[in-house]
Amino acid sequence: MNNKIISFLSHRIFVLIAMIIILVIFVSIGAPQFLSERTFHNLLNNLSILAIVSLGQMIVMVTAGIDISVGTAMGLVAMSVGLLIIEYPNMNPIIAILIGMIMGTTMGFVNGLLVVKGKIVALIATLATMNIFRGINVLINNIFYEGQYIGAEKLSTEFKNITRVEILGLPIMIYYVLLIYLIFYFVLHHTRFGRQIYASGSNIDAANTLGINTTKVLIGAYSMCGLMFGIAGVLYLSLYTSAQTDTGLGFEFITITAVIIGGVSVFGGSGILWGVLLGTLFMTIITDSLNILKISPFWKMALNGIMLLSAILINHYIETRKKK
Amino acid sequence: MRFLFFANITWEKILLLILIMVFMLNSLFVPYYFSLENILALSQSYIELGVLGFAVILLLISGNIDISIAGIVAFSATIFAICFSFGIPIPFCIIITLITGTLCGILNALLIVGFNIPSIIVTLATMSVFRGLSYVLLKDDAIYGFPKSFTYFGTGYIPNTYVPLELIVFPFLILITWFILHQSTFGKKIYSVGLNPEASFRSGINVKQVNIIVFAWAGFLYSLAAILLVSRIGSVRPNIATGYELEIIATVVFGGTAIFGGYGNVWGYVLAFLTLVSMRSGLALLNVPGQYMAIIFGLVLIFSILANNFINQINEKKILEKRSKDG
Repeated sequence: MNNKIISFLSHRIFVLIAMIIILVIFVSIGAPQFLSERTFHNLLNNLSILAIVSLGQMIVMVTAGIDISVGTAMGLVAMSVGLLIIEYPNMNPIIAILIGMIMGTTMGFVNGLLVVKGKIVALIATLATMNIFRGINVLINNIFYEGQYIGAEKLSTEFKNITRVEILGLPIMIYYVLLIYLIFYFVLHHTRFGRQIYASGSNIDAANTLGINTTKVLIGAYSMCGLMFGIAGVLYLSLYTSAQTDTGLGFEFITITAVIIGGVSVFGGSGILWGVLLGTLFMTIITDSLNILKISPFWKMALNGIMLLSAILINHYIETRKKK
Repeated sequence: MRFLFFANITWEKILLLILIMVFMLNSLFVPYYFSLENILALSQSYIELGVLGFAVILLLISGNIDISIAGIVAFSATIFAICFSFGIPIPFCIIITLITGTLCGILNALLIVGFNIPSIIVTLATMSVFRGLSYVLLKDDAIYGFPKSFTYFGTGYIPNTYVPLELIVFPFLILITWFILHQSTFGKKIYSVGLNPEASFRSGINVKQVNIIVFAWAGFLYSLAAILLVSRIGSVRPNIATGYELEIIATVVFGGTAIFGGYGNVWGYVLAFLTLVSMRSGLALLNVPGQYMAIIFGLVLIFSILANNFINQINEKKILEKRSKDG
């Protein structure tokens, strides 16, 4: 009985919830306005975009890969869709989302091809595509829009409304996120494909021997990650009504940190979906509270790095203790 | 006959051909390109990058990857600028900076070796730590106003010639790296650790020590590059050297160094560096914006790894065929 309580208390999800509660208490002592409704809605909106990208990052990291192109890829999707909307102002928002999904999936597919078929280390392959995407972003921005950023006045109200409605007093974004997470909860934990992703991540040779087509599974994982940043890109454009050449810069680090805090091993093969959602929530609270607590934004990057490093070390400590 | 030609094919030969081709194209399309003054003057802007490569080649051969390159360069430059703004004389600033860089490298190595975590993951995290600390220390300010005697080193020429003063470090570094990699026992150890750390450990090589030394040397070279960079551009901002990690890893891999470790040599890197520098300067003279260079470097990185993999595959096949014929 006692053991059960201890194992429950040391469960990742519980620890994360406790960490988040402690964090919220500390921040709201420092700045009581943190508990206001507006901040909460803002927080949920910021969380949503990150959570969708983190989910994609998680799927890739479960396969023992990594995708550091997610941020720039999202920025490229936002920019392209924005340019299309300027060209065709009456475009149906659903078509915009579909275009984003197709674009993202294609970009993810290319990442997957390079990693799996080209046998390039995931980090290096996506470092290359990250820079290629950034370059293309600048290129199309210069060619089609003379290097200006896309602002709110250029986007149709219809398009802006896909992220600005509230249902039951909560921003609609959070419902999108829950829907996507539920779908992927089912895909990852209750379908054959999901189990194959975990199997390929924990031991690719064993998975191959068992008859799993790991090539297909891995490319599928990268494409799914692409689907996620595709969706996130369109939602980002609609929510923040801006797309610039540096949109999404630094997202890769926040998502990687969130995923690792959420309990996904950097060696692949393990990790739970809800942990990732909580990890993202934790990261979002930290970034948002920096503004509210009036801490210099220049701390953001260093703090992010320190968080990522400590998350890796703590995960490592837990894993080696489990093995013992 | 045909077989003989293919049997001798090496990446360096291909690179040499590419270099000659790029050079010819440049001379054809870019007016005034083909002059010694021009080529030497152009080389000045890329010397810091070249210095970084001599660190990265050792890291890659030993089976490590470092993403924190630009982070450490920025952090070293920041430390240099802050020491300078405190009124510390330049020579001491330089010494402090070099020590800082080396310590950053050692920190990376200790995290990798001590916790047995892949270098990719550790340096991904330390990259934003180092870059972030530069932002924390400098905020959005730029520090400038370094004395002429210091900036002269980065901007001046050897008297009565067109040779940039900075270029002096290059032959020295080629020599040192050549000696370490191809002449010393330590070089053999680096290759062996990169090929198979487990086997190296069992045959008595202190793998951890090799890794720590390689990272410390890398950190030292990063800070050296930082000093050269500051001396050339004459100011320090926290976003200094952004994107250098891609450029230099791409260059080293383009030079035939295996990304998984165990293979590579200095000459391949030097050729790759010259090729990319002439390609870049040609494009710059043709008014191609610098931001598009990222696309080119990304493509170069991908294609050189793919080509390397392809050549390795052919060679392996050949070895297998030979074996099956022999036995």
